[in-house]
Amino acid sequence: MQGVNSTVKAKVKYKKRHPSFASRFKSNLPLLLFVIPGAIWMIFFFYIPIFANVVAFQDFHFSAGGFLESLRTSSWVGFKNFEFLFSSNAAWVITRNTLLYNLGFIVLNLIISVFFAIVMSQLRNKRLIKVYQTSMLLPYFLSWVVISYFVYAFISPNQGLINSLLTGSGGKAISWYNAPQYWPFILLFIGTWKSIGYNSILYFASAMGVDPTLYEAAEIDGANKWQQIKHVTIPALVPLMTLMTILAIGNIFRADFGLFYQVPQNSGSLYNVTSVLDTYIFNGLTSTGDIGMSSAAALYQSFVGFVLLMISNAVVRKIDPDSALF
Amino acid sequence: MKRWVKGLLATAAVLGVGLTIAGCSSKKAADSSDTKTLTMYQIGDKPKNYDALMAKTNKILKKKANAKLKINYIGFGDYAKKMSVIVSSGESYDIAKADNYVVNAQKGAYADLTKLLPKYASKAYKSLDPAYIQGNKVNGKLYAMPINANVYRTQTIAFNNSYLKKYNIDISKVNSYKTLEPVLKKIHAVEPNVVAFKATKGFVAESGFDYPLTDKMPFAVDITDGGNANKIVNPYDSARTQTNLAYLHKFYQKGYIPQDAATNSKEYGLSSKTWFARQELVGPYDYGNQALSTASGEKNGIVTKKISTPLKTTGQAQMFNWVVSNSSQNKELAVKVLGIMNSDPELLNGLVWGEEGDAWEKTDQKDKIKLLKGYAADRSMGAWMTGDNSILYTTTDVTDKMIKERKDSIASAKTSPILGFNPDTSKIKTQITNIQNVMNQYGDQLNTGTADPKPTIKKMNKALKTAGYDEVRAELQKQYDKFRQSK
Amino acid sequence: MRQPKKQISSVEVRSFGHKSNLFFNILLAIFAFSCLLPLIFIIIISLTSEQSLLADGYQFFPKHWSLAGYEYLATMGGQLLNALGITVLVTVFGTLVNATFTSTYAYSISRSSFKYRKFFTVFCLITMLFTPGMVANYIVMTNLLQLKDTIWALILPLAVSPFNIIVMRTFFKRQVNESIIEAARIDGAGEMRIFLKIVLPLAVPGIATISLFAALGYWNDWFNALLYIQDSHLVPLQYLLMKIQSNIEMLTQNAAQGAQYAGGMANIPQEATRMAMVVISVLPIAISYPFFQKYFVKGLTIGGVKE
Repeated sequence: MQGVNSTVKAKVKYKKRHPSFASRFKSNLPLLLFVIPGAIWMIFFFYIPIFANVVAFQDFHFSAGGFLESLRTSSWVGFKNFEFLFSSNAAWVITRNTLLYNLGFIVLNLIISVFFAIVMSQLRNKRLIKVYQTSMLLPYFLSWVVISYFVYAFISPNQGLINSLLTGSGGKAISWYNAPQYWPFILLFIGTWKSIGYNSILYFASAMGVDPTLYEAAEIDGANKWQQIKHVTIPALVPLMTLMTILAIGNIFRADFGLFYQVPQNSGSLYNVTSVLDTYIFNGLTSTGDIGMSSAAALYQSFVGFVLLMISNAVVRKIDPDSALF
Repeated sequence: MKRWVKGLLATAAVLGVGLTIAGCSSKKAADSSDTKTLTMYQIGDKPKNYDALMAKTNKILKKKANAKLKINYIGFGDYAKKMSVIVSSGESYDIAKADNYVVNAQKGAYADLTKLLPKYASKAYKSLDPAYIQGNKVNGKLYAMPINANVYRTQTIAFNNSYLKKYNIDISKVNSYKTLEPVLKKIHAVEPNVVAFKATKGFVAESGFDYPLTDKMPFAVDITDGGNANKIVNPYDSARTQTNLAYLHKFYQKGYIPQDAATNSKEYGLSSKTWFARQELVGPYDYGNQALSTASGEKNGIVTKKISTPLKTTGQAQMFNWVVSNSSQNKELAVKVLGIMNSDPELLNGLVWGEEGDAWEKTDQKDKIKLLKGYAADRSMGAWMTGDNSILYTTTDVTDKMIKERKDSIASAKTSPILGFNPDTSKIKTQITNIQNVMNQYGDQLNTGTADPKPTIKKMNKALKTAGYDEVRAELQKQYDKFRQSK
Repeated sequence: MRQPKKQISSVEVRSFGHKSNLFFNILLAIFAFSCLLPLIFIIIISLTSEQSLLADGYQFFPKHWSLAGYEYLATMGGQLLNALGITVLVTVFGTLVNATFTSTYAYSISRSSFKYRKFFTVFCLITMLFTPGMVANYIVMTNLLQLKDTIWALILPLAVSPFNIIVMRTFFKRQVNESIIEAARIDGAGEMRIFLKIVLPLAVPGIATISLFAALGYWNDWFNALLYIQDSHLVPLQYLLMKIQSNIEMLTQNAAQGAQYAGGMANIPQEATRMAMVVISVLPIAISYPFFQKYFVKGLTIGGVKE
């Protein structure tokens, strides 16, 4: 509140047109300065380049004058670049797969990582927690290619560990990469397994932030462990859970490309259960390399995500305004 | 309207201007010194002695064209991606290895060289086999300086000679998948752990077709004697293809082809003893079995048997194209430099073989050299990706007789009926994208023999139909008819 | 400041009984082991001879062992060290920048007294929903900022993570009580002081978490190098490894293509080299992480004992 005197003059000057702007600006200035670096970054790495997405509605041709000149001279084709996403029988399959797998991941991730986070926050052996966390995070920073080799070691048709076990015990070897019925489970398992470490650490940080006096109070009230978790820990995690879910819903039309492309080794006979939007776009566009169509696909995914995010946020705001994103 | 929405809109307007400025600052002032330096993008790894190699090259270029060359290398795996960004962004460069040549030429990424090549690079231009010029014409214009090398290709089955000798296997009768079967049976019986026939992801069975798009797309023209070369057909409908695929399926079931062939992209190295037979394309500059044998590093080497006739195709013609950027400020000069690279033996051999005296030395025979200790793949540039192979010196292993055979075989090789048919696919790209996905689903299964051909082709054709096969075929046929009339 | 004993006992309140403690320990240990397995496995493959790999595929207990993969990589030792240096520099510096920008932004939009908080929240959210094209990003970086072929091209694209901003915003909202800040303000502390002295200590767990993920992002990034780096002295480790790998693949594939001139290249132990490269790129972070985690966990406990 100091410095008010010194700005009185300035305030008076602006008073007529903007009654509170100057003072409000002044009092918000420090926080505004905190935002500035991030905001500038967003301008350069998002808000400027995002305009190039108009190419999704164009038949892009190069012009000697550079990219902008090319954008200016290319002809407009409306929604023609979007057609390939809807025009074949595969459209239904890929949309279904993308949605169902992502829903599966949202549910599984939420339940399992919150469970792990709570368990870790309650364990007595702090050293072991460290070890667990270190190892759980490992898959998160291995690339999908590496994980696909790992999966291959288990289920390769000739020398895979599982097939060796099957034939060893008198069973019949399974040609895994040609057997679509197993893949929904394999993919859900691998996808969840890889991201559990990341997510449970996020929740763990939040669970450790819970004020310990709350537990003490609960204990004094005679609450057992389960009741403590239910009434103290979980409510403390709800905002983060809500946030993660809303954000995941916003990305529900984006599939993890590596999981669906590398792990099933892009095997044709599995397409009915492994084909998702991202792999379809990749497989279709690598040879033509049409930037109009690839921006169209990205725009489509973003737009659906945007709508879903708005809806889920509105629902959350109705129930618990504090947890809503905006 | 909420205040922050207004704020966002206002910001958006400001940023739009920002993008415009970004675009405008792209034009750079031209170099003022009189020796111009041209920028070239090349695929692969930078040679370790790049500076030494280029010092000599630039000396020649400076003398002949008052120019210098700076080569930027982009790795094999990244070239397509990075080049497409560079091309789309309109970044200024002069020369590059073409990537996705036909489509980019149609979209206007490359400079039209139809008139420039004969004018500024006449020697290199004249040395080209006519098939190169015909095969690279897009809408009647030439956008590339192709590298004169393997202009025709023959599909062959290559055999690991060590095994042939060891088990005394006779391959003299092999000329198709059918005649290959008994040979594979023999080897599989004695060496069950060796891959009898190498077929991996991306393998395409040879059935006598040439493809106007790629061999992964189901549009083809019959190139066998007596076939109808005027019609674009689905190769999987032909009895010939189906018989071949049935053989491959048999190979797969009997274990000659590995179980995971359809998803496997593992390379069974030429030098390894893990394979017995494989399909390889062979061209005139391979000098029969010599190139494959050298690459295998084996004493016994590799023996090949033809399963198709030699054919000059569009694919061979576009094997390695140099293009000049449409955004280049020095188009004529760039063509001149390309002309020198493809016609000056001193310059070219100094790049392909490495530094003279260190990597190689001349012998008393004309245009024959002897390799020295300093010769290494990472201290020189690949022949197929640098310049005209007909002016390259050869090692003394290549006899004059072999060179004569090479020249004769090129002269006598047939030309594909669709050589130079580079269709415009911009109107049907939606359907092509969908078909591409259908082929990704079925192509590898069928060609590696993993799937039973009859029912699978039926399923595939149904999927192709809904993906818009008929429209694409009709459009290609229309363009093909026009192409044939203009010939 | 110096009352650790009492603090530890307050941590004690949130612990399982001994029996359930053992049960959950076993459960977590099994899961943690399944996460370690791939790394062990990759190390095994990297030490398997190429022959065994081609004949038997990937095995946990290969028949023949070999160091050929590492030997091949050792031939380019200097280049690898240089790339490692670049990666470490970019990771350390980038993580600092990222953690600073991300947490200050998140802090501001978490404060209900900040008038423009809605605007900047939405400003950030939008960036998560849509993706600017690669080409446009390239033009901004090379033309507008003129940063092609500089170390900044590796640092700036990852300097802010909108996703982490949103996560941190929630974190600040939950962990930092507005009343503490109000009290400090009445005592005459400026915003900067409040942030550094009060908010930051409370937010250490969150900041440690986002720093960790930022560090991983920088460590694993190869794509920006692909787009913006031409100078071989600025190539980071991941990209160098990718380049080596794709070049080996192409050379073996194209052996026939340029055969008579490229003999010998076909002898590189492909699979083992590839895995040796993975080991080299993962091991430093796997080894340094536990040390790093010491501070990380300390942060977590400090966060837990706020008043």
